Amino acid sequence: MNTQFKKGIIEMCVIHMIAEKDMYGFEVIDSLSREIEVNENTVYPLLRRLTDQGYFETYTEATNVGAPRKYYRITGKGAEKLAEYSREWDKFLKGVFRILGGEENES
Amino acid sequence: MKAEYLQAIRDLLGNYQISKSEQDDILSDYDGMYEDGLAKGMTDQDVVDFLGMPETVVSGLAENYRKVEKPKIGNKLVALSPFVAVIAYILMGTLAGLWHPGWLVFLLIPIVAITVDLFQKRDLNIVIGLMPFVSVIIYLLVGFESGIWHPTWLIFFLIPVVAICVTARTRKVIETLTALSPFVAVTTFFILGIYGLWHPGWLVFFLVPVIGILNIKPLWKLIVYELTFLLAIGLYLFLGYGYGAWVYGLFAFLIPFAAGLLLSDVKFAAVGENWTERLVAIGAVAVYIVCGILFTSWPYLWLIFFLIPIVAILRHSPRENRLVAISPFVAVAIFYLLGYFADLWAVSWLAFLLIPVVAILTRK
Repeated sequence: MNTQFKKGIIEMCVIHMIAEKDMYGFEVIDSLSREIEVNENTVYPLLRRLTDQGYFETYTEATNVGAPRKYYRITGKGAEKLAEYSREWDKFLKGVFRILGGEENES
Repeated sequence: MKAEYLQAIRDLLGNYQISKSEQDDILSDYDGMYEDGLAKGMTDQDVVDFLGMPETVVSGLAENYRKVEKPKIGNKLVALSPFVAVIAYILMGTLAGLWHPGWLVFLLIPIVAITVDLFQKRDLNIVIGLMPFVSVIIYLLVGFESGIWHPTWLIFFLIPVVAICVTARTRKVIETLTALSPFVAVTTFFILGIYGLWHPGWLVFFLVPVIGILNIKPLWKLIVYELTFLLAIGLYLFLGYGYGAWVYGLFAFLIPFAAGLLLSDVKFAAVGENWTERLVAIGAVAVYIVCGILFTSWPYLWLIFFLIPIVAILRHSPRENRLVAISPFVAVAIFYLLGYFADLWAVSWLAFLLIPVVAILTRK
């Protein structure tokens, strides 16, 4: 799969996952790599970038395994970005289904 | 191990214009993720594999940062090195008649370039790149000066050994020892061979499983395996030296094999589950030992063990990579056979050029 295309999808997935619930770094990487073939060491830089861009904010929470854990939480800007991604993704998929003659074509 | 991993990341981050507080934040995050991995029951190696090697981690993070400007003197040295090499070569040749082995001075050009890169990037992995040149220079100098090409060629083991040592910080000590053990075994084997001890010197290859077993858990199992190996080797030597029954003594090695069966670590796989590789491995060991005892072919028949990785490459590597992957084994075989049988050690090292040549020819 085209690298840039895959990067965009992974970015959308990460924003979606954190919109569903606050998550810590290891959890994001672990959950994502269970579902999608992804180079694990690209996820953390993505988390940092999205945080820098204001899509996430972070907070720490004490754990019983050691140092406090850093959690990522979606921001208003992040939620808007996710909505935008969802619209684009939906439109894209409908187009693909129309071309391939899938279910979307029948509606 | 965590400390070394984080330190390696910190060192590499130092190559980029990233503020101290940001570096600390990144390291704190990796510290946390490392701890999360351990808490999930992962080993240190699993965590490193999961999070990525320090080099890949930092290259992923550093996409948006500029590199720290380094002093330019290194680049000047690199640019000057070809001229210095030519002048040195001409001076050595005309003034002292040292055209040969004076030509070795040209190897300084890549060495200077790699060394400068090493200092600029502060990346120890670059030392690995130096080793082929260092090995060739030592090999040729010792060979031309003393004529002792064999076993001087073992110096080429510096290449993988240094690579293993440089990357050791991300491995456990036992894992590093396991990786080093084949090279230690082969080197010891040839040193024993110099004294005519090819047989039973080949027993030194058991160093590989004996060290490899140290990775086994639980401890009682480790002890059982180690004891069975020692018992087998002891019994083999006892029967051989005591009664001349070297061939019958080979049955002693059924002891660790039986232990493996009893403890369910050795299983008979169904046909199709890497059966070809298993067959080739068993066949290679059998041919090596039987021919060694019958024809004293110990000094050269060890090359038969190359069949094991070669068959695995042929069966599992993508078609376009096969030739490149096999070329190092073919090069070593040509190098050694020409050297051993025709005493062409001085030129047979050229066989190693086969590796880059094949890589270039097969590149699309």
